[in-house]
Amino acid sequence: MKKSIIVSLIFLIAANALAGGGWPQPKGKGYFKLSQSYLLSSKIFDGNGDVTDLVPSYGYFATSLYAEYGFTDRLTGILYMPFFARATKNELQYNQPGVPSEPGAALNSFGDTDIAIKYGLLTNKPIVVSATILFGLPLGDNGATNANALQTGDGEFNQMLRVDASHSFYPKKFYVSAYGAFNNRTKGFSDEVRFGAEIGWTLKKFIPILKISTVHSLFNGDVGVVQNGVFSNNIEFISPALELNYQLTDKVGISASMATALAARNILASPNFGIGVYLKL
Amino acid sequence: MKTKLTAFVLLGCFSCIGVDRKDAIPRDPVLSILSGGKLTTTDKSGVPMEKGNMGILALQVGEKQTVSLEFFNKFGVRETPTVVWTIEKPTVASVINNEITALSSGNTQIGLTSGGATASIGLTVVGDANAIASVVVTLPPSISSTTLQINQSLQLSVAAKNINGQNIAGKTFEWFTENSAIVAVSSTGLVTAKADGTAEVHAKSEGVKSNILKFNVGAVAGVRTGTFQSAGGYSTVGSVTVEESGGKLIVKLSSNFQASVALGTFIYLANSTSGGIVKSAGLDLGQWSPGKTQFEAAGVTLNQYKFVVVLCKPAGLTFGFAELKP
Repeated sequence: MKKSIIVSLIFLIAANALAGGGWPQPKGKGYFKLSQSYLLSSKIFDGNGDVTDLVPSYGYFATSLYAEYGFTDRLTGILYMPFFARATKNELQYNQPGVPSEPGAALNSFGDTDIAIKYGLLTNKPIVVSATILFGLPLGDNGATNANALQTGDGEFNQMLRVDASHSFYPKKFYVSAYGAFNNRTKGFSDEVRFGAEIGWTLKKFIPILKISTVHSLFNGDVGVVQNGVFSNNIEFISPALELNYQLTDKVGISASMATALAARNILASPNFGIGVYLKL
Repeated sequence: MKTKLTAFVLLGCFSCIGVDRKDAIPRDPVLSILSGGKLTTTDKSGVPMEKGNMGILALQVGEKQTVSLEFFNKFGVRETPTVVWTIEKPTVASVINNEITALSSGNTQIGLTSGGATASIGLTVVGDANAIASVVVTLPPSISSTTLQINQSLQLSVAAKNINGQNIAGKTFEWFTENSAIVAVSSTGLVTAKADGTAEVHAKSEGVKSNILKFNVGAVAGVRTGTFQSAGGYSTVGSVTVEESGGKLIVKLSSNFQASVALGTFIYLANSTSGGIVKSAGLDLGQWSPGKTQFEAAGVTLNQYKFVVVLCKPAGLTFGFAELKP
């Protein structure tokens, strides 16, 4: 359900100019980021792409670690681990006196975790290219046993193959990256094709990044999928994101980000916000 | 330390369960008469209930009966009702402060109105202990259902009772049907189902009207069925049967029923499949989760709604619906 888009966005946000893209980490170098994401929505994109009210509001919050580490100059290990994930449903109170309110609810757990290996295909060219194989581990709670369908995971093990290409305009201090990916999903979920691009600047200590990411469902899943929520399957979106990074020192920085969806299906229709602190080795 | 504390407080606030406010969905207000003393109550179909919107009362001249009421406003909130009473024959009875006083022999209807809800009491006032105070129509002992197949016949029984509930012998009765094209009734109380639909039957003796029996006639008498179809790109499969039993409507989902589970998947009875209309005007039967196959509703008739709808209630999205037939 909403988890999928949120995690997708968080994962995209987690990487920045100092990580991600077509560049693998040099051997022994790394990038580590502790983030907090926030989403609360009273609207939703329905299956036809129309925005409709959602009453009560639903929220998703994740405290996560994103890490990249260079095992060799070409081989980088990647981890996205939301070690505390929280899904909430707001309490609903009525304006009319005496009408009983509907209680809110929350689900706290470990979240679905991604592990990946990135391999640099072209590393010393004007355009660098890398390939990534990513495994989505269903470590979160898929909500199958709670009546509110609150979820911190989608319950399926997915495998995604992704190719990134990047170009630095050095000595000018900006870069561009683009990627394409195929996400093979299990347990009756539709497979996905993903595309995205980003452009980043380095303005002394300030690094703004603009991103666009898209997810397209192949709608080849099992329509009878019932346990993991309608919003977990056949998600589609076009999502721009803005990330602002500030270097506190040569190794430590802070970042803030916002991602939203311009058009979408089956996802919450509100921006996702993130803040974080990162460390470069 | 101060910075860490602030960070934790901020994170805690961000992830608190918040509060949303909205207007409640208005429903029909309900005014119920409560049984008590010599007053008994039935629902609209004549099924005896502890509380209902129709009362049956028999009193002797000079006797009094206090009426207890229960009122739920259009938002379902219990309130003390302010009742407007109307008496069909003011010479038979009067009402002051919810207390009925029997004035003279006769029969009269007493109407009650409060906040847009109505109820009624059928009052019989007798002058002596041997007069007919009530007429009671009953089904054969072996029959408990008022559902009939077309052409099926049923012999009803009827009894006249005095103010003390004792049978009075030697009385004659007239029989009445609300719609003889659906249910016919003979001069001896033999009812025969003629066509699909519903019809009420009652009897009278010396002007005293009996309780009402409501009969359902259908291809499968008293049962409506439907097959779910998906809607809006979501998934719903299976079928549903709806039947009246014990004064309630029983909605049964088939064992192979499946639906998308979302942020609150609910089963509704409705006359539309549009999510917004279902949410505002339909009857919420409760939240569905895999494995739950039966829902109940009181105060609803079999033919009142056209669809059983699977609705994502928070978003007002229809996942699927079944049109009930016949």
